[in-house]
Amino acid sequence: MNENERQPVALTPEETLRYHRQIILPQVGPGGQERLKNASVLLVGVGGLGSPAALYLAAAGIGRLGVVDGDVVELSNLQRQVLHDTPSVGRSKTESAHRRIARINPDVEVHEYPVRLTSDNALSTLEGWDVVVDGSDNFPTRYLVNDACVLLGIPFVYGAIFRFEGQASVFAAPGGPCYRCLFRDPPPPDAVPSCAEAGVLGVLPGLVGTIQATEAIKLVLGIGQPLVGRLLLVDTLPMEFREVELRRDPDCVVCGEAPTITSLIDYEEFCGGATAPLAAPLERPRVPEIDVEELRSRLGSGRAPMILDVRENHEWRISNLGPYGARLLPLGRLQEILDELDPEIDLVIYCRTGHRSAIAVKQLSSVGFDRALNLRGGINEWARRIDPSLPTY
Amino acid sequence: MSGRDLVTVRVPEPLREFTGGRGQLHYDASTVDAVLEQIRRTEPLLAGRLFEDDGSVRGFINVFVDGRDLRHLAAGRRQVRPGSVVAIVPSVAGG
Repeated sequence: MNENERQPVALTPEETLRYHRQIILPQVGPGGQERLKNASVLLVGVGGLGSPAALYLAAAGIGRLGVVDGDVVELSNLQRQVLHDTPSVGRSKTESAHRRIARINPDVEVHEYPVRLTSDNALSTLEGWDVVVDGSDNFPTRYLVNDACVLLGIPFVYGAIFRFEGQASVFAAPGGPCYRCLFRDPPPPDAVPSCAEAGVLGVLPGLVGTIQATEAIKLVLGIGQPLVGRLLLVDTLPMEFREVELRRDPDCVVCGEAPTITSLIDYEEFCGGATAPLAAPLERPRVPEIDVEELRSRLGSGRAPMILDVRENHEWRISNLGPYGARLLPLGRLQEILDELDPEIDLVIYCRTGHRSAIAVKQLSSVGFDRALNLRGGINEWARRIDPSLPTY
Repeated sequence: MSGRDLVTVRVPEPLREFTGGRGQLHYDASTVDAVLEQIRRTEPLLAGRLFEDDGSVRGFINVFVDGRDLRHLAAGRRQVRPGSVVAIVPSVAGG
Protein backbone atom coordinates (compact mmCIF):
# COMPACT_ATOMS: atom_id res chain seq x y z
CA MET A 1 0.00 0.00 0.00
CA ASN A 2 1.50 3.32 -0.95
CA GLU A 3 -0.33 6.06 0.91
CA ASN A 4 2.37 8.71 0.77
CA GLU A 5 0.18 11.06 -1.24
CA ARG A 6 -2.71 10.93 1.25
CA GLN A 7 -3.50 14.20 2.95
CA PRO A 8 -4.53 14.29 6.63
CA VAL A 9 -8.32 14.31 7.00
CA ALA A 10 -10.09 16.14 9.83
CA LEU A 11 -12.91 14.70 11.93
CA THR A 12 -16.52 15.21 10.85
CA PRO A 13 -19.10 16.35 13.44
CA GLU A 14 -20.55 12.84 13.48
CA GLU A 15 -17.12 11.36 14.14
CA THR A 16 -16.56 13.82 16.95
CA LEU A 17 -19.74 12.47 18.54
CA ARG A 18 -18.88 8.81 17.84
CA TYR A 19 -15.46 9.08 19.44
CA HIS A 20 -16.48 11.49 22.21
CA ARG A 21 -15.49 9.20 25.10
CA GLN A 22 -12.03 8.82 23.59
CA ILE A 23 -11.61 12.45 22.55
CA ILE A 24 -12.22 13.69 26.09
CA LEU A 25 -9.22 11.70 27.28
CA PRO A 26 -6.46 14.28 27.72
CA GLN A 27 -3.95 11.83 26.24
CA VAL A 28 -6.03 11.57 23.06
CA GLY A 29 -8.01 14.75 22.41
CA PRO A 30 -9.24 15.81 18.97
CA GLY A 31 -5.69 15.76 17.65
CA GLY A 32 -5.15 12.16 18.76
CA GLN A 33 -8.46 11.06 17.27
CA GLU A 34 -7.47 12.66 13.97
CA ARG A 35 -4.20 10.79 14.18
CA LEU A 36 -6.13 7.51 14.55
CA LYS A 37 -8.33 8.46 11.59
CA ASN A 38 -5.29 9.08 9.43
CA ALA A 39 -3.50 5.93 10.60
CA SER A 40 -3.32 2.52 8.96
CA VAL A 41 -2.97 -0.84 10.70
CA LEU A 42 -2.46 -4.15 8.91
CA LEU A 43 -3.72 -7.30 10.60
CA VAL A 44 -1.84 -10.42 9.56
CA GLY A 45 -4.36 -13.11 10.36
CA VAL A 46 -7.96 -12.44 11.31
CA GLY A 47 -8.45 -15.51 13.46
CA GLY A 48 -8.40 -15.73 17.25
CA LEU A 49 -6.04 -12.78 17.85
CA GLY A 50 -6.94 -10.72 14.79
CA SER A 51 -10.65 -10.86 15.60
CA PRO A 52 -10.72 -8.77 18.79
CA ALA A 53 -7.90 -6.60 17.47
CA ALA A 54 -9.92 -5.78 14.33
CA LEU A 55 -13.09 -5.11 16.30
CA TYR A 56 -11.45 -2.67 18.70
CA LEU A 57 -9.27 -0.96 16.11
CA ALA A 58 -12.32 -0.41 13.91
CA ALA A 59 -14.39 0.84 16.82
CA ALA A 60 -11.56 3.13 17.94
CA GLY A 61 -11.54 4.84 14.56
CA ILE A 62 -8.36 3.63 12.88
CA GLY A 63 -8.85 5.04 9.40
CA ARG A 64 -7.54 2.16 7.31
CA LEU A 65 -7.42 -1.47 8.29
CA GLY A 66 -5.84 -4.18 6.17
CA VAL A 67 -6.77 -7.82 6.71
CA VAL A 68 -4.51 -10.60 5.45
CA ASP A 69 -5.79 -14.16 5.66
CA GLY A 70 -5.98 -16.96 3.14
CA ASP A 71 -8.41 -19.12 5.11
CA VAL A 72 -12.17 -19.53 5.03
CA VAL A 73 -14.32 -19.37 8.15
CA GLU A 74 -14.91 -22.81 9.68
CA LEU A 75 -17.43 -23.81 12.32
CA SER A 76 -14.61 -24.75 14.72
CA ASN A 77 -13.29 -21.15 14.49
CA LEU A 78 -16.35 -19.57 16.05
CA GLN A 79 -15.57 -20.58 19.63
CA ARG A 80 -12.90 -17.85 19.70
CA GLN A 81 -12.81 -15.91 16.41
CA VAL A 82 -15.46 -13.40 17.39
CA LEU A 83 -15.11 -11.31 14.25
CA HIS A 84 -16.88 -14.08 12.31
CA ASP A 85 -20.34 -15.51 12.78
CA THR A 86 -22.32 -18.58 11.89
CA PRO A 87 -23.66 -17.27 8.54
CA SER A 88 -20.03 -16.56 7.52
CA VAL A 89 -18.98 -20.22 7.66
CA GLY A 90 -17.52 -21.12 4.27
CA ARG A 91 -16.78 -17.49 3.33
CA SER A 92 -13.26 -16.10 3.14
CA LYS A 93 -12.13 -14.64 6.45
CA THR A 94 -11.15 -11.36 4.84
CA GLU A 95 -14.61 -10.97 3.32
CA SER A 96 -16.23 -11.86 6.64
CA ALA A 97 -13.93 -9.40 8.43
CA HIS A 98 -14.67 -6.65 5.93
CA ARG A 99 -18.45 -7.06 6.34
CA ARG A 100 -18.28 -7.06 10.12
CA ILE A 101 -15.93 -4.07 10.33
CA ALA A 102 -18.19 -2.13 7.97
CA ARG A 103 -21.15 -2.78 10.26
CA ILE A 104 -19.24 -1.63 13.33
CA ASN A 105 -17.75 1.46 11.74
CA PRO A 106 -18.56 2.29 8.11
CA ASP A 107 -15.98 5.08 8.16
CA VAL A 108 -13.12 2.57 8.26
CA GLU A 109 -11.53 1.83 4.91
CA VAL A 110 -10.86 -1.92 4.70
CA HIS A 111 -8.29 -3.49 2.41
CA GLU A 112 -8.69 -7.23 1.87
CA TYR A 113 -5.76 -9.53 1.13
CA PRO A 114 -7.36 -12.97 0.87
CA VAL A 115 -4.01 -14.73 0.55
CA ARG A 116 -1.43 -16.38 2.73
CA LEU A 117 1.49 -14.05 3.37
CA THR A 118 4.58 -15.32 1.53
CA SER A 119 8.10 -14.14 0.81
CA ASP A 120 6.87 -13.09 -2.64
CA ASN A 121 4.02 -10.86 -1.48
CA ALA A 122 5.02 -9.77 2.04
CA LEU A 123 7.04 -6.64 1.30
CA SER A 124 4.51 -5.24 -1.17
CA THR A 125 1.64 -6.09 1.19
CA LEU A 126 3.21 -4.61 4.33
CA GLU A 127 4.83 -1.56 2.77
CA GLY A 128 3.16 1.72 3.67
CA TRP A 129 1.23 0.55 6.74
CA ASP A 130 1.92 2.39 9.98
CA VAL A 131 1.64 -0.61 12.32
CA VAL A 132 1.31 -4.36 11.78
CA VAL A 133 -0.56 -6.65 14.18
CA ASP A 134 0.72 -10.21 13.99
CA GLY A 135 -2.09 -12.64 14.68
CA SER A 136 -0.73 -15.44 12.53
CA ASP A 137 -0.88 -19.05 13.64
CA ASN A 138 2.34 -20.60 12.41
CA PHE A 139 6.08 -20.11 12.79
CA PRO A 140 7.02 -19.47 9.13
CA THR A 141 4.59 -16.54 8.97
CA ARG A 142 5.79 -15.17 12.30
CA TYR A 143 9.43 -15.08 11.14
CA LEU A 144 8.29 -13.67 7.79
CA VAL A 145 6.31 -10.86 9.45
CA ASN A 146 9.27 -10.09 11.69
CA ASP A 147 11.83 -9.92 8.92
CA ALA A 148 9.57 -7.93 6.59
CA CYS A 149 8.75 -5.43 9.37
CA VAL A 150 12.44 -5.04 10.30
CA LEU A 151 13.39 -4.53 6.65
CA LEU A 152 10.58 -2.01 6.11
CA GLY A 153 11.00 -0.28 9.47
CA ILE A 154 7.42 -0.96 10.61
CA PRO A 155 6.75 -1.74 14.28
CA PHE A 156 4.62 -4.81 14.81
CA VAL A 157 2.55 -5.94 17.74
CA TYR A 158 3.21 -9.56 18.54
CA GLY A 159 0.74 -11.91 20.18
CA ALA A 160 0.76 -15.70 20.49
CA ILE A 161 -1.36 -18.16 22.43
CA PHE A 162 -1.29 -21.76 23.59
CA ARG A 163 -4.07 -23.43 25.58
CA PHE A 164 -4.44 -21.08 28.60
CA GLU A 165 -1.31 -18.97 28.12
CA GLY A 166 -0.41 -16.04 25.92
CA GLN A 167 2.46 -13.74 25.05
CA ALA A 168 2.48 -10.16 23.77
CA SER A 169 5.15 -7.63 22.88
CA VAL A 170 6.04 -4.91 20.39
CA PHE A 171 8.86 -5.78 18.03
CA ALA A 172 10.82 -3.92 15.36
CA ALA A 173 10.14 -0.55 16.98
CA PRO A 174 13.01 1.95 16.70
CA GLY A 175 15.78 0.84 19.05
CA GLY A 176 13.81 -2.14 20.33
CA PRO A 177 14.35 -5.86 19.88
CA CYS A 178 12.76 -7.98 17.18
CA TYR A 179 11.17 -11.43 17.35
CA ARG A 180 14.47 -13.05 16.37
CA CYS A 181 16.23 -11.32 19.27
CA LEU A 182 13.91 -13.32 21.52
CA PHE A 183 13.56 -16.53 19.54
CA ARG A 184 16.74 -17.00 17.54
CA ASP A 185 15.65 -20.34 16.08
CA PRO A 186 12.26 -21.76 15.22
CA PRO A 187 11.30 -24.91 17.08
CA PRO A 188 11.70 -28.18 15.23
CA PRO A 189 8.68 -29.10 13.12
CA ASP A 190 5.96 -30.67 15.27
CA ALA A 191 7.80 -29.91 18.54
CA VAL A 192 5.17 -27.34 19.51
CA PRO A 193 1.58 -28.42 18.88
CA SER A 194 -0.77 -25.96 17.21
CA CYS A 195 -4.05 -24.80 18.76
CA ALA A 196 -5.80 -27.27 16.46
CA GLU A 197 -3.82 -30.05 18.10
CA ALA A 198 -3.53 -28.80 21.67
CA GLY A 199 -6.69 -26.75 22.12
CA VAL A 200 -7.12 -23.16 23.27
CA LEU A 201 -9.41 -21.43 25.74
CA GLY A 202 -11.72 -19.36 23.54
CA VAL A 203 -11.43 -16.19 25.58
CA LEU A 204 -7.61 -16.27 25.67
CA PRO A 205 -7.12 -14.78 22.18
CA GLY A 206 -9.75 -12.25 23.22
CA LEU A 207 -7.45 -11.11 26.03
CA VAL A 208 -4.23 -11.15 24.04
CA GLY A 209 -5.73 -9.72 20.83
CA THR A 210 -7.22 -6.86 22.83
CA ILE A 211 -3.80 -6.17 24.34
CA GLN A 212 -2.42 -6.08 20.79
CA ALA A 213 -5.08 -3.57 19.76
CA THR A 214 -4.21 -1.44 22.80
CA GLU A 215 -0.55 -1.44 21.85
CA ALA A 216 -1.32 -0.57 18.22
CA ILE A 217 -3.40 2.41 19.33
CA LYS A 218 -0.66 3.54 21.74
CA LEU A 219 1.92 3.32 18.96
CA VAL A 220 -0.24 5.42 16.63
CA LEU A 221 -0.93 8.01 19.32
CA GLY A 222 2.59 7.96 20.73
CA ILE A 223 1.30 7.68 24.29
CA GLY A 224 2.12 5.54 27.29
CA GLN A 225 4.86 2.94 27.46
CA PRO A 226 4.50 0.44 24.65
CA LEU A 227 5.61 -3.15 25.18
CA VAL A 228 8.95 -2.44 23.50
CA GLY A 229 11.69 -4.42 25.22
CA ARG A 230 9.15 -6.23 27.38
CA LEU A 231 7.39 -9.54 26.90
CA LEU A 232 4.03 -9.80 28.62
CA LEU A 233 3.14 -13.32 29.76
CA VAL A 234 -0.52 -14.04 30.40
CA ASP A 235 -1.61 -17.16 32.27
CA THR A 236 -5.38 -17.37 32.57
CA LEU A 237 -5.68 -20.28 35.00
CA PRO A 238 -4.04 -18.52 37.96
CA MET A 239 -4.93 -15.25 36.12
CA GLU A 240 -1.45 -13.87 36.26
CA PHE A 241 0.09 -11.16 34.13
CA ARG A 242 3.87 -11.09 34.34
CA GLU A 243 6.52 -9.47 32.21
CA VAL A 244 10.13 -10.19 31.42
CA GLU A 245 12.76 -7.89 30.04
CA LEU A 246 13.84 -8.19 26.41
CA ARG A 247 16.95 -6.72 24.88
CA ARG A 248 17.98 -6.12 21.33
CA ASP A 249 20.55 -8.73 20.35
CA PRO A 250 23.54 -7.04 18.72
CA ASP A 251 24.23 -10.36 16.97
CA CYS A 252 20.67 -10.70 15.64
CA VAL A 253 20.78 -11.90 12.05
CA VAL A 254 18.15 -9.43 10.87
CA CYS A 255 18.24 -6.37 13.20
CA GLY A 256 21.73 -6.72 14.69
CA GLU A 257 24.87 -4.75 13.97
CA ALA A 258 25.95 -6.96 11.06
CA PRO A 259 22.75 -8.53 9.72
CA THR A 260 23.09 -11.50 7.43
CA ILE A 261 19.42 -11.48 6.41
CA THR A 262 18.90 -8.43 4.22
CA SER A 263 16.06 -9.77 2.09
CA LEU A 264 13.26 -12.25 2.70
CA ILE A 265 14.16 -15.93 2.72
CA ASP A 266 12.27 -19.22 2.32
CA TYR A 267 10.49 -19.40 5.68
CA GLU A 268 8.97 -22.83 5.18
CA GLU A 269 12.45 -24.19 4.71
CA PHE A 270 13.80 -22.10 7.59
CA CYS A 271 11.19 -23.55 9.93
CA GLY A 272 11.33 -27.04 8.48
CA GLY A 273 14.22 -28.51 6.57
CA ALA A 274 16.75 -25.93 7.63
CA THR A 275 16.29 -26.86 11.28
CA ALA A 276 16.99 -30.55 10.74
CA PRO A 277 20.17 -30.67 12.87
CA LEU A 278 18.35 -28.97 15.72
CA ALA A 279 15.25 -31.02 15.15
CA ALA A 280 16.98 -34.34 15.18
CA PRO A 281 16.90 -34.96 18.93
CA LEU A 282 13.21 -34.08 19.07
CA GLU A 283 11.99 -35.83 15.95
CA ARG A 284 9.77 -38.83 16.35
CA PRO A 285 12.16 -41.65 17.21
CA ARG A 286 12.28 -44.58 14.82
CA VAL A 287 10.86 -47.43 16.86
CA PRO A 288 9.10 -50.75 16.15
CA GLU A 289 5.48 -50.14 15.17
CA ILE A 290 2.21 -51.92 14.78
CA ASP A 291 -0.64 -50.67 12.62
CA VAL A 292 -4.23 -50.45 13.75
CA GLU A 293 -5.46 -53.43 11.67
CA GLU A 294 -2.79 -55.70 13.08
CA LEU A 295 -3.59 -54.59 16.62
CA ARG A 296 -7.26 -55.34 16.04
CA SER A 297 -6.52 -58.84 14.76
CA ARG A 298 -4.17 -59.52 17.69
CA LEU A 299 -6.80 -58.35 20.15
CA GLY A 300 -9.13 -61.02 18.81
CA SER A 301 -6.56 -63.81 18.52
CA GLY A 302 -5.64 -64.67 22.07
CA ARG A 303 -2.27 -62.91 21.61
CA ALA A 304 -3.63 -59.68 23.00
CA PRO A 305 -0.85 -57.32 24.12
CA MET A 306 -0.99 -55.03 27.10
CA ILE A 307 -2.00 -51.54 25.86
CA LEU A 308 -0.64 -48.33 27.38
CA ASP A 309 -2.08 -44.88 26.65
CA VAL A 310 0.59 -42.20 27.25
CA ARG A 311 -1.68 -39.18 26.75
CA GLU A 312 -3.10 -36.95 29.46
CA ASN A 313 -6.25 -37.52 31.52
CA HIS A 314 -8.39 -35.08 29.55
CA GLU A 315 -7.44 -36.76 26.29
CA TRP A 316 -8.43 -40.14 27.68
CA ARG A 317 -11.88 -38.72 28.31
CA ILE A 318 -12.20 -37.82 24.62
CA SER A 319 -11.38 -41.30 23.36
CA ASN A 320 -9.61 -44.36 24.65
CA LEU A 321 -9.02 -48.06 24.19
CA GLY A 322 -10.23 -48.84 27.71
CA PRO A 323 -12.62 -51.52 26.39
CA TYR A 324 -9.52 -53.44 25.24
CA GLY A 325 -7.83 -53.16 28.61
CA ALA A 326 -5.79 -50.05 27.85
CA ARG A 327 -4.22 -48.35 30.86
CA LEU A 328 -3.64 -44.59 31.06
CA LEU A 329 -0.10 -43.62 31.90
CA PRO A 330 0.85 -40.07 30.84
CA LEU A 331 4.28 -39.89 29.23
CA GLY A 332 5.68 -37.68 31.98
CA ARG A 333 4.95 -40.39 34.57
CA LEU A 334 6.29 -43.33 32.62
CA GLN A 335 9.59 -43.43 34.49
CA GLU A 336 7.78 -43.61 37.82
CA ILE A 337 6.12 -46.93 37.20
CA LEU A 338 8.73 -48.84 35.26
CA ASP A 339 9.15 -51.23 38.16
CA GLU A 340 5.51 -52.26 37.85
CA LEU A 341 5.85 -53.31 34.21
CA ASP A 342 7.08 -56.68 33.01
CA PRO A 343 9.76 -56.25 30.31
CA GLU A 344 8.86 -59.67 28.88
CA ILE A 345 5.27 -58.79 28.10
CA ASP A 346 4.00 -57.64 24.68
CA LEU A 347 3.22 -53.93 24.93
CA VAL A 348 1.44 -51.65 22.49
CA ILE A 349 1.68 -47.95 23.28
CA TYR A 350 -0.47 -45.25 21.77
CA CYS A 351 -1.12 -41.53 22.03
CA ARG A 352 -3.09 -39.16 19.82
CA THR A 353 -1.07 -39.52 16.61
CA GLY A 354 1.95 -41.66 17.50
CA HIS A 355 4.54 -39.05 18.46
CA ARG A 356 4.52 -39.25 22.24
CA SER A 357 4.08 -43.00 22.13
CA ALA A 358 7.19 -43.29 19.94
CA ILE A 359 9.11 -41.42 22.62
CA ALA A 360 7.68 -43.81 25.21
CA VAL A 361 8.68 -46.89 23.20
CA LYS A 362 12.20 -45.49 22.86
CA GLN A 363 12.44 -44.84 26.59
CA LEU A 364 11.19 -48.32 27.38
CA SER A 365 13.49 -50.03 24.91
CA SER A 366 16.46 -48.22 26.46
CA VAL A 367 15.73 -49.95 29.77
CA GLY A 368 15.19 -53.43 28.39
CA PHE A 369 11.61 -53.48 27.14
CA ASP A 370 12.27 -55.13 23.79
CA ARG A 371 8.67 -56.05 23.00
CA ALA A 372 7.11 -52.58 23.08
CA LEU A 373 5.44 -51.41 19.86
CA ASN A 374 4.20 -47.97 18.85
CA LEU A 375 0.65 -47.82 17.46
CA ARG A 376 1.14 -46.10 14.11
CA GLY A 377 -1.15 -43.06 13.77
CA GLY A 378 -2.33 -43.31 17.36
CA ILE A 379 -5.92 -43.43 18.54
CA ASN A 380 -7.00 -41.03 15.82
CA GLU A 381 -5.97 -43.62 13.22
CA TRP A 382 -7.83 -46.29 15.20
CA ALA A 383 -10.91 -44.05 15.15
CA ARG A 384 -10.62 -43.47 11.41
CA ARG A 385 -10.02 -47.05 10.32
CA ILE A 386 -11.35 -49.34 13.04
CA ASP A 387 -13.93 -47.58 15.20
CA PRO A 388 -15.55 -44.50 13.60
CA SER A 389 -17.75 -44.10 16.69
CA LEU A 390 -14.69 -42.62 18.46
CA PRO A 391 -14.10 -38.89 17.97
CA THR A 392 -10.83 -37.65 16.50
CA TYR A 393 -9.21 -34.47 17.73
CA MET B 1 11.29 -26.35 53.60
CA SER B 2 8.32 -24.52 52.01
CA GLY B 3 8.01 -23.29 48.42
CA ARG B 4 8.78 -19.76 49.61
CA ASP B 5 12.18 -20.85 50.86
CA LEU B 6 13.05 -22.32 47.49
CA VAL B 7 13.59 -21.18 43.93
CA THR B 8 10.51 -21.68 41.76
CA VAL B 9 10.83 -22.80 38.16
CA ARG B 10 7.73 -21.97 36.11
CA VAL B 11 7.03 -24.59 33.47
CA PRO B 12 4.75 -23.31 30.69
CA GLU B 13 1.87 -25.29 29.22
CA PRO B 14 3.69 -26.62 26.14
CA LEU B 15 6.35 -28.28 28.29
CA ARG B 16 4.18 -29.69 31.07
CA GLU B 17 3.79 -33.01 29.35
CA PHE B 18 7.45 -33.51 30.23
CA THR B 19 6.93 -32.79 33.94
CA GLY B 20 3.90 -34.98 34.48
CA GLY B 21 1.65 -31.94 34.23
CA ARG B 22 3.43 -29.90 36.92
CA GLY B 23 3.56 -26.15 36.26
CA GLN B 24 6.04 -25.36 39.02
CA LEU B 25 9.22 -27.04 40.22
CA HIS B 26 11.01 -26.03 43.41
CA TYR B 27 14.71 -26.24 44.09
CA ASP B 28 17.11 -25.29 46.85
CA ALA B 29 19.87 -23.49 44.97
CA SER B 30 21.95 -20.33 45.12
CA THR B 31 22.74 -19.89 41.42
CA VAL B 32 20.69 -20.31 38.29
CA ASP B 33 23.30 -22.73 36.97
CA ALA B 34 22.65 -24.95 39.99
CA VAL B 35 18.92 -24.75 39.25
CA LEU B 36 19.49 -25.84 35.66
CA GLU B 37 21.72 -28.67 36.83
CA GLN B 38 19.00 -29.89 39.18
CA ILE B 39 16.51 -29.78 36.31
CA ARG B 40 18.89 -31.98 34.30
CA ARG B 41 19.12 -34.40 37.19
CA THR B 42 15.51 -34.55 38.33
CA GLU B 43 13.57 -33.85 35.11
CA PRO B 44 15.38 -35.62 32.27
CA LEU B 45 12.40 -35.38 29.91
CA LEU B 46 12.14 -31.62 30.41
CA ALA B 47 15.90 -31.22 30.17
CA GLY B 48 15.82 -33.00 26.82
CA ARG B 49 13.51 -30.25 25.56
CA LEU B 50 15.43 -27.36 27.11
CA PHE B 51 19.06 -28.00 26.38
CA GLU B 52 21.32 -28.60 23.42
CA ASP B 53 23.91 -31.35 23.66
CA ASP B 54 26.49 -28.76 24.73
CA GLY B 55 24.29 -27.72 27.66
CA SER B 56 23.15 -24.39 26.22
CA VAL B 57 19.47 -23.46 26.16
CA ARG B 58 17.83 -24.15 22.80
CA GLY B 59 17.25 -21.18 20.49
CA PHE B 60 13.45 -21.40 20.62
CA ILE B 61 13.35 -21.37 24.40
CA ASN B 62 14.27 -18.58 26.78
CA VAL B 63 15.01 -18.70 30.47
CA PHE B 64 14.33 -15.61 32.56
CA VAL B 65 15.65 -15.24 36.09
CA ASP B 66 13.48 -12.83 38.07
CA GLY B 67 12.47 -11.24 34.76
CA ARG B 68 16.01 -11.02 33.34
CA ASP B 69 17.11 -13.00 30.30
CA LEU B 70 19.60 -15.69 31.31
CA ARG B 71 21.64 -14.98 28.16
CA HIS B 72 22.30 -11.45 29.34
CA LEU B 73 23.25 -12.32 32.90
CA ALA B 74 26.96 -11.91 33.49
CA ALA B 75 28.82 -14.56 35.46
CA GLY B 76 28.66 -12.56 38.66
CA ARG B 77 24.90 -11.96 38.45
CA ARG B 78 23.61 -15.48 38.23
CA GLN B 79 22.73 -15.80 41.90
CA VAL B 80 19.20 -16.71 42.91
CA ARG B 81 17.65 -16.47 46.34
CA PRO B 82 14.68 -18.03 48.10
CA GLY B 83 11.59 -16.82 46.29
CA SER B 84 13.38 -16.25 42.97
CA VAL B 85 11.42 -17.24 39.89
CA VAL B 86 13.04 -18.92 36.92
CA ALA B 87 10.60 -18.68 34.02
CA ILE B 88 10.89 -20.93 31.00
CA VAL B 89 9.41 -19.19 27.95
CA PRO B 90 9.16 -21.25 24.76
CA SER B 91 8.07 -19.95 21.39
CA VAL B 92 4.42 -20.64 20.63
CA ALA B 93 2.68 -19.78 17.40
CA GLY B 94 -1.04 -20.07 18.11
CA GLY B 95 -3.15 -17.22 16.88
